[in-house]
Amino acid sequence: MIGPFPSTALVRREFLSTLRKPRMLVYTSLAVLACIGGVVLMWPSAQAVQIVGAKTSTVLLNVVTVVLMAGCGLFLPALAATAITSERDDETYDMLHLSLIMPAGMAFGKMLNALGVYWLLALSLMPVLGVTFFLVGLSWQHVLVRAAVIAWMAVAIGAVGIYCSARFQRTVVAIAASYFGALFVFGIPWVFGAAVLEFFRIRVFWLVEAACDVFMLRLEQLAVAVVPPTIIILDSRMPAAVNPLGPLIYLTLLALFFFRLTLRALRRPPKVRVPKLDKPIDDAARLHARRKRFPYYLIDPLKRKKIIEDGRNPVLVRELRWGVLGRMTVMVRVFYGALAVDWAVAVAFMLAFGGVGTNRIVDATAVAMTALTICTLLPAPILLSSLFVKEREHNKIEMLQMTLLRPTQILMGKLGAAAVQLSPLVVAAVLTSVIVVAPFGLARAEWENLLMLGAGLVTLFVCVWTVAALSLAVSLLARTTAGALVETYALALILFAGTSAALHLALQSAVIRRSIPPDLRHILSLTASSFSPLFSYVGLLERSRQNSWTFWIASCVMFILLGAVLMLGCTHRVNRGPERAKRRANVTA
Amino acid sequence: MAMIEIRQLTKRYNKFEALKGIDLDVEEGDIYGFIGPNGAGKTTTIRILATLLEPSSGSAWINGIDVMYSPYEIKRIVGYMPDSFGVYDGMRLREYLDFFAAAYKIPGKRRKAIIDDVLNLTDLADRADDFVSAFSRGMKQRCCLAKTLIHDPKVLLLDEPASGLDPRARIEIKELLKTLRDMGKTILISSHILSELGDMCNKIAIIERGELLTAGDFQEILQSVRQTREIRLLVLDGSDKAAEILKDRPGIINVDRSGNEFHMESNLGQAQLAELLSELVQNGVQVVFFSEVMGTLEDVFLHVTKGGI
Repeated sequence: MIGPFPSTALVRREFLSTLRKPRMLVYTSLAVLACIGGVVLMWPSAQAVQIVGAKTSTVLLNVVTVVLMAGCGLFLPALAATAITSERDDETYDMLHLSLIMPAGMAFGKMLNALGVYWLLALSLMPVLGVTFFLVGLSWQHVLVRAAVIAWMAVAIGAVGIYCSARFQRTVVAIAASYFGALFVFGIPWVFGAAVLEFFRIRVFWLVEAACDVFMLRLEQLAVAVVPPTIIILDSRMPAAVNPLGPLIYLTLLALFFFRLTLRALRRPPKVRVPKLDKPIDDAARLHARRKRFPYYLIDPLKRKKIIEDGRNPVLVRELRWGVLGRMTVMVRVFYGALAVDWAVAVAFMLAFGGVGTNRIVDATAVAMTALTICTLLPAPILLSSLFVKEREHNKIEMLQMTLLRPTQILMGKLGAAAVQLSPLVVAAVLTSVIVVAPFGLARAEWENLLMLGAGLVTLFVCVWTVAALSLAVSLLARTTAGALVETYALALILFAGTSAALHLALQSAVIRRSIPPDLRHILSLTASSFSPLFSYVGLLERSRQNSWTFWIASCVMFILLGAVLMLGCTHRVNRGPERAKRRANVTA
Repeated sequence: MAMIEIRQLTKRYNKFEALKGIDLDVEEGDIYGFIGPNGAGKTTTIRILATLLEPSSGSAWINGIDVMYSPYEIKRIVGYMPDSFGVYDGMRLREYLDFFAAAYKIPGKRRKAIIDDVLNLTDLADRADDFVSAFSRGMKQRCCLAKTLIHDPKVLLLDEPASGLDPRARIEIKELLKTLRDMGKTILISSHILSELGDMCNKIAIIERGELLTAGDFQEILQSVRQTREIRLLVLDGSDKAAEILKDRPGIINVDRSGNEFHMESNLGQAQLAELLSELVQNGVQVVFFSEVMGTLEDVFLHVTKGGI
């Protein structure tokens, strides 16, 4: 029975069935275990409870807040963006549209499905977080404000995602738009806000220190209202100044705005994809005349394509001619977009951390290069994770497997496509590092800075290679584009930050600090950093540390090898070789 | 030697046994109908033959080549058309076929002629420059069949090739398959729509719940299934007299009368049926039709299968 609230059917079909899946148990267990691990590792020793207990509880609250907000920003856009496009892909949207479920019910049901899992995960962490009350220093209002902001932030991001899902026909476009929307609404203002605050703090207000505090407080309160994650900064420094009403009103307005847009999009009759009927043009003169106009000087879709040459990999040729290069205009836009973001980020960081008059140019380079690497890595899974999964979703992978193409050829074709798809992002990052970051060091004639820049570029390429391999591997195993995206982000987070951060946390815990001599702790700290190329790259800044370059090189080599192993695994997967080999071995025996 | 040989083929998905040790022989030049209800194991068998699935046990050979150990050689001689398939966005039909021709390592010089041949065979020549994603379902089926034929395979494995097609498209696909049979191809075609296979296949195999219930020559199976003949008699005048003659006549069972039309089950031979007809005529019955109703695949299917999934 549908009942008085029509979306109950949707909720039952999607949300409850999601909860029944075994993977939910895995996700919940992992989240709770990670949280328990964090609490256990950060728990102060018995003697220190009175001294650092309150501080530790706040730090723990911040860690959980950051993790939940990061999870919200990384996973929710993909989950929400596929809510309605997946119905279109499965050709069930028309049936849903014809049912008695109203657009509001549909949007609500889809939203609840996208948010429900996240909220449940967040709720499951609360008992563990509650343990920190024993450390004193946290009030229940404190935790409540954080929980409300996180929950409302999820609603706002979910609303952006659901709108993109209703607005766009293609899943990948909806996902990309959803991430961009979430980034635009939350991420970029935060980066800029942080950079501007830092700039003001360092450059301007040291002149009028008395006026600074009041002005900074107002600025920070404004930042919290617009960009909820900054609540952590303010809450830690001046808890009394935090007013949760601002962020909650901002997030509610945002959610309502996008929810309204979603309803408008859902009320429209389903769009029919108009088939393309243009015939190719064989007349050279007409083609030449067209070439003078945008975007035909880049690529003309009506120009007859050559046959695939002998000896070339057909998968690569198809991916390039009909895939990546067929969407040349999109690639150019991605390049310009990436360049704009990279330049803005690099300029903001270089000005904030390494402008003329300070002696931290190497620090600024390292931070800027790390930020550029993150800016390059973040959109990479969106471009790559559909490479195989799309073939699988449309039952095309089997047709490829049935041809005489070797698994390595299929994989190399896809890898080539991945490289070309990532090239606008990588080229933008490299250009930015050469044009924006390098001149700061050259102006100060600090050659160490160039070394740091070179190491940053190597780190960038290592990270891109690993993420490309990871995206391909997940894409090969996942069943849906959204699943592939979420899993790629989760694994990338674990690979590039989680493992290393957890090891560092463990090393800082009271128990380990006491039991390990300082020399060994230093080596272990370097080892922990080497579990992430980004961490080990930033670790190069600490000149007091010996062997940091060796550990950075080891980290890079490890991640290159990891990428290679993942690619090897992909080859086996495409071939389904292990199963066949096992069987052959059994028969021989 | 059979073109396709299957021995004790089993496939298990965890506890569910999709195939329970089936044996099957398909001779060269056969159009072999592989029939069964949904979930019977047809697609599983075909996917194993196409090297896309590993069997849990048992073996299968195509043209003497083991499908498990020599998948690459199998791909050269097999064309597989799945029941559902996608097409690449933004590709025109000629480009689509060129891609698969290149994937089957057909040299560029020969490719154009082959693509033209395949387009003509599938009656798609005038759509060569159209986008495949814009095709109707029937056109996509043909397009997939064209792709399946591009490397001139000896054996065609067609999984529900006519599902979802309109009557005209079905008839056209049927005609196309007959042409392929005349070209010497061996075709294993699965379907649960019996009418589409009845007048096309020379041999059939019926599978249900992973078990092969019967397999062999269609006519022989039909005869083994039907112990009696079904005779249809239509008279213009003298239906009462005809009813009197048929009543209690040895060899005639279950006479069903509807006005001037009679349907009867009989175990009479050819000569006795001739006698019966002449007796009817001699007694003044004006006979319009006196004919045997031929058995259909539906009869065989209903007789052999138990129903349910």
